[in-house]
Amino acid sequence: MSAKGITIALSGKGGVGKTFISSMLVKRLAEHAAFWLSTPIRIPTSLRRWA
Amino acid sequence: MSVKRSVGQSREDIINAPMRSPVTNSKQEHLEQAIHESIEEFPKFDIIVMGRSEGEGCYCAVNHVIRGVIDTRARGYDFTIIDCHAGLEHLSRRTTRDVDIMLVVVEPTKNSVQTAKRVMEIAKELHIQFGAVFVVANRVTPENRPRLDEMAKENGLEITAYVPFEPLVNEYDGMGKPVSDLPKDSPASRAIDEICQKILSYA
Repeated sequence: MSAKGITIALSGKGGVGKTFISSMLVKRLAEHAAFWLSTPIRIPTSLRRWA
Repeated sequence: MSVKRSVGQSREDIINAPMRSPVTNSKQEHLEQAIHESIEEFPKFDIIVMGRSEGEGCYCAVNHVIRGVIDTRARGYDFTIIDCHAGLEHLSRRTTRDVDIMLVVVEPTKNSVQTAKRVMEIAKELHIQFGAVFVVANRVTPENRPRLDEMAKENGLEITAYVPFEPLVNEYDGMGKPVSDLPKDSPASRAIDEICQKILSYA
C-alpha cells in the first residue's frame, strides 16, 4: 500500500448504482482491511454528490 | 447515519459572504476550518457530504481550496472513496486527478456503457492516469448479461466485476434502511466482496 493510502473513485452515468456500490465498499473495506492489514483503519467517504 | 453540515453549505456561506472578494487567506482558512468541521467520524470510517450543487457565480477558487483540503486529509487515511457526481465533470474539473483506482460503474443499458467509454476517452484526452480501472457492471441478471457483454465488447470495455440485480436494494431504499446492511450472503454482497479483494490485491 502506498504511503498515502488508496484513493478509489466511482464514476458513471446517473442512476447506475454508484452510491450503492460505494456504501457497500466502505462497509466491506473496513471489515476486510481490518482483517488483511490487522490494523484499525479509517475510511472517509467524500460523497461528491451535489444533491 | 446523519450528517450535521455539508461542505456545500460551507461553500455557499463563503460565496455569499459580504464583500464578494476573491478567496483571501482568511476565507481560505475559514473554508478549511469548515471542511474539517464537516467531517463526521464513525467507529470505522469518516464521511464528508459535499451537499448541494453549485448555484450562481464562479466556484473555481472555492472548489480549488476544497480539493486541496480533501487531498491533504486523504493522506491520513488508508482508503478514500469518492462517490463522484454523475457524468464526466469530475474529469474536466480534475477532481479525480490523483485516483489510484477508478471504478466505472455500468448497468446493462447502452447509455451507461457509452458513458463508461467516454470516461475512458476523456481521461485519456486530459492525460489523467489512474493506477487501475475496474469496470463494474451493476444490476446484472442471467437474462441481460449476454447483451451487456456484447455492448461492452463493442465499446472496448472489459468488465472486471458483475454485481447481480438485488431486489432488496429497492426494498431497503423504500424503507430508508441503509443498503450497506444487505445480508452478507446475498449475491450482491458477495460480488462486492470480490471487488474488495481486487482492491486489496492492488493495495
